Amino acid sequence: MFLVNLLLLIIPILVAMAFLTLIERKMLGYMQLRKGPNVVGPYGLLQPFADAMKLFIKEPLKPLTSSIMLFIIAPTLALTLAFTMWIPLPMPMPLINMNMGVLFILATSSLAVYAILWSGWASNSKYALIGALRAVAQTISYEVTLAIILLSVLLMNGSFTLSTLITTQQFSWLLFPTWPLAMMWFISTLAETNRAPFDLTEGESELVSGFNVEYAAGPFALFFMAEYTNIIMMNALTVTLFMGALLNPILPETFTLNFVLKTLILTSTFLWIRASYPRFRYDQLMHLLWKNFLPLTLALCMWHISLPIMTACVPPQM
Amino acid sequence: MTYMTYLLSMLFVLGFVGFSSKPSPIYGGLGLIVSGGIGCGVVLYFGGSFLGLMVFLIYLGGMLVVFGYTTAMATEEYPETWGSSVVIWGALLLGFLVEFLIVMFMVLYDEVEVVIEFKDSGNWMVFEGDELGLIREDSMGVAAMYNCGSWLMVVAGWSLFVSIFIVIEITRGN
Repeated sequence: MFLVNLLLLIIPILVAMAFLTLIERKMLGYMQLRKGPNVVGPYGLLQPFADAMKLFIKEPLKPLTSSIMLFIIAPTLALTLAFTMWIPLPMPMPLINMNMGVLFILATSSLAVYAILWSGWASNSKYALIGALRAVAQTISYEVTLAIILLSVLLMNGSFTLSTLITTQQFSWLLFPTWPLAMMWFISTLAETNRAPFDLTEGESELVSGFNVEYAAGPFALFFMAEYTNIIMMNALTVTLFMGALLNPILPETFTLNFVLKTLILTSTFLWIRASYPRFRYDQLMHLLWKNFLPLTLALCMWHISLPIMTACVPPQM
Repeated sequence: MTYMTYLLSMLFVLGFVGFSSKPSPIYGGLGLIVSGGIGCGVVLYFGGSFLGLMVFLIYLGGMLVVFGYTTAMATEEYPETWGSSVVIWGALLLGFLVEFLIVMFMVLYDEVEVVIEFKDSGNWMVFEGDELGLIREDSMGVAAMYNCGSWLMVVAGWSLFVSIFIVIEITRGN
């Protein structure tokens, strides 16, 4: 039974990820007044499957000077972690109902950085290494704000459990009382998933393709899939945190529908942002985080700690 | 559960053996991460879900900076893995052997004893509601760490303090 549950979680994620790659190309295409993929299948619907076929049939490259073990472990780890992060997400029933769901997600997402680091190092190429180090520096920097923002939101929630967020937001989205945090959270998730305009790790002109230059075929596809799964996951988390849907216990399907709709809207915002904004310069990226976001989130975190205590409105702790 | 914890703690030590047999820094990092993760798994098995995840998060997140540095600073043309040279392979084998002997010794002669008694835990950490008080395992673990292991904490804090002085002294420019 557990296996069926697991498959029913993973397969829709895989399908969603496949079509996200298609919708990204379509949206980028239409925003640039062209059509995007439209030859394979109706409206190009079969394009992702054709791409997957091509990538998995192709011969995987193993550069002679690379260290094979880490070179293979890294992409596997990336995809595994990308799927693992879906486990505690309540939609409205999580696969495993964890008390510490938020901490679990934070821990796994901090582990995901290692996949990037190892892949960059194991490729034994300067481009890959520099790309990986850039990615690592960027990701762990933005993880700091992500954690602090999460902390201030959870202070209103009362626990680290994700499903209590649904109860907390039964009457009002947390987006309204914490909109500055939500704004910073959204921007930080952009940086955390290495999306444009923060996609410095794969700055084409200076780094070729970043940490995954040396990867081809299967392992590359794993990285690619992990990246897109992470995008959907991060948006799903944003929805759970800030725009919780209404849960009707008799009809939980409405929750799922509501949830998915919001996630899709946020994901297409990611794509829209990619089409609209030019890439940041690296020092600007760091400046934005360490000198703007971090002081702001720290101040707001203090605010969210002190306000409930001051007004004796501490959420239930058990 | 006891067997699971036993198995995990064996893997924990094996991870340490893996990195103390001195492969390239990046593989040392790999060993540390593996044993760090397993160590947190042990804590999770004892019911300390908060402490386990927190340590995992902070350890991995914090150490990532260190690993990033080692990766950047110690790039080698021919990195040493565990199988690449006789010395490392020997050290690894020796570590495995010692681990095996210790485990055998423990199985034959030793037994695990419980350090923490339940009787004085009431004054550690109680979540109080209207009528009932609740002791949570994981928060209690933190309290136990400071209570039973207070001198160990002092020593650990002091050694961290000394080590940062040593690091600052070593990296100080003239």
